[in-house]
Amino acid sequence: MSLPGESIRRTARFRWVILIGHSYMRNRTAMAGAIALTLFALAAVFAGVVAPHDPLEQVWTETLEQPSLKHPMGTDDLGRDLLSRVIYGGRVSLQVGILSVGIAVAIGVTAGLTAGYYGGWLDTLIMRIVDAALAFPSLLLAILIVGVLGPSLRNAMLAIAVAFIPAFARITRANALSVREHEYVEAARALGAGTFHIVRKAVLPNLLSPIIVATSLSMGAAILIEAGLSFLGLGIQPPTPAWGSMLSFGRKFITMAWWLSLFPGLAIFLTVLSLNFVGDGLREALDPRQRRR
Amino acid sequence: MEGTIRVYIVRRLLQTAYVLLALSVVVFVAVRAAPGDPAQARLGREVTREAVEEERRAMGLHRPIFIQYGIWLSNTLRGDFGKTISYATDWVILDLVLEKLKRTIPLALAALLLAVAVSIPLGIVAGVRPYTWIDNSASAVALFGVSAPNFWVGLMLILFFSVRLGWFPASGYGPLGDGLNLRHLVLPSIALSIQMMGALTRYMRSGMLDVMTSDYIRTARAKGLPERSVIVRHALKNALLSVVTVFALDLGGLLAGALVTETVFQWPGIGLLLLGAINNRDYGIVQAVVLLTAVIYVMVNLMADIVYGYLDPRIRYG
Repeated sequence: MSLPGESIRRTARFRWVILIGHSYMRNRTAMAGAIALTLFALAAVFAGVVAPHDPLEQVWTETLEQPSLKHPMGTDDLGRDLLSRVIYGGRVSLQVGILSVGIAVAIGVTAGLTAGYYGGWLDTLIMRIVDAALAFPSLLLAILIVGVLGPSLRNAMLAIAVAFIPAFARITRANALSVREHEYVEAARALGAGTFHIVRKAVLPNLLSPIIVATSLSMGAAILIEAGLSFLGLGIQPPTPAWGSMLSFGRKFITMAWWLSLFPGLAIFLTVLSLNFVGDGLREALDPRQRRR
Repeated sequence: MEGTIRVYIVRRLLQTAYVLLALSVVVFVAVRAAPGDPAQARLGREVTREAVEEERRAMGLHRPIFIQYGIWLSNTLRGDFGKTISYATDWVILDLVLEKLKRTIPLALAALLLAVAVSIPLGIVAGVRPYTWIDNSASAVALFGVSAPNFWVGLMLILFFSVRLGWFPASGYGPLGDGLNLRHLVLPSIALSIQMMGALTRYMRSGMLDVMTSDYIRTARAKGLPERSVIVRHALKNALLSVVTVFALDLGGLLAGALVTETVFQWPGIGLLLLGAINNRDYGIVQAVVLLTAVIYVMVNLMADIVYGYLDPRIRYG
């Protein structure tokens, strides 16, 4: 169905994106974060092409070698090339960042919209659950879930998703409550639009900014939690390379092989830092009061 | 006035009771959902089916789940988490956890103090003098704190200060029988503090920045107060307000972070205990550690909110 206002609305949306893109691109750290993140993602996706060696190939004559031209990040105790393992390890972090936060956003936003827009007993029910969940530190909740279900990548992602749902529900609800009272929502209702239509066309678009910002910042936090879990041996299991579990081997060999502790951690740090740069950049670009002209 | 704060506190207490009850359900259900039969786990593999069945009856596992929860809850409220199954001698779980908690608390407190001691002054100066070199370094601290995994920071500290310089020990709690050794505390508490340090610096800076541009600060300046007293007596009080609640919220991160930091430094606290229990499927310990940690967290948040209610009258009517 095409309403008379449809084309105007499309133009407006286009101009909004341009405005935000402009503002974002003026922010140097935000751009650096976006570029770095793109590079990391490409390296992880095309790991098979980018990585100089097979991340699982053990060369017994080349164990615990210092960084050199052949092995820029050195080798581990089984003679595996660390650079290749770091590149492949990015796949795990990327997967966790996207999938677990994706699940958390889908469920959290739906719950928050339901609670905030409908109100009443549904609101009370949902928010009571959210309150209880927020009383758990997210890493602790994730450890409990994985500890009980058993260590694996799937369980780690599930645990992280569950840990992040309440935050998204709360952010969405708080904003939905205020958007609900705006005149344009009332106008849509007066025109006879159905609830689903109003939520989708009038309420949700106005909630996008806080949700987008929270998503990018949560991805960083999710990657940190996954790294923590796999450092504890509760994440993806060997031999699949993951940054956190690589660091737990770094701990074992810390007196003889500094590179095993340095590089995987640096990869986590730079990835999360980039995500935080992007998140802060988006926050500034999306908030009219902070926007750079 | 007195009445509203009392109503507010009662409401928060009721909320807390509800949250704790919900926590207990989550922990109970989670552990019950674990694969493997608790009776089997207690007896080991080399037993007959009849013996397992008997143990199930003895443990009350044949009763309806609600009744099991009721019994478990009443035991838990009395501090009875049962006995360990994964140690050579059967420990009373509560004793074991409290013993380990005595090791974790100094670590958490040291990290807390360090984070506060660095971030509050840094955040204040950064907020008062935005876009100067000190503000930039505050931003760097904040970004590093929220982006670097604390276990990696721990590893880097070990590499530099233990392996290279040999200044501090890389692991452990202190020489056997000697109790806590401060030299052992230095590196783990730095590693654990950075996350909270980053977050607090950020809050303190933005709180200060908000306040410094408000009207009453302009008034205070206009009536000729020296800048020092404008900042200390007028601005700081209000800026600290917003930090109190986030501070309590971040404590959860600190507690959970302690679990990981302990692994890096082989610090024999509840973190190592929990990890060992997970690996040995000793779920009584898992329940006790998770519940106690969550209870500490919930209680600190309750206290923070009550303090906040006293400090800021607007909250009571919310």
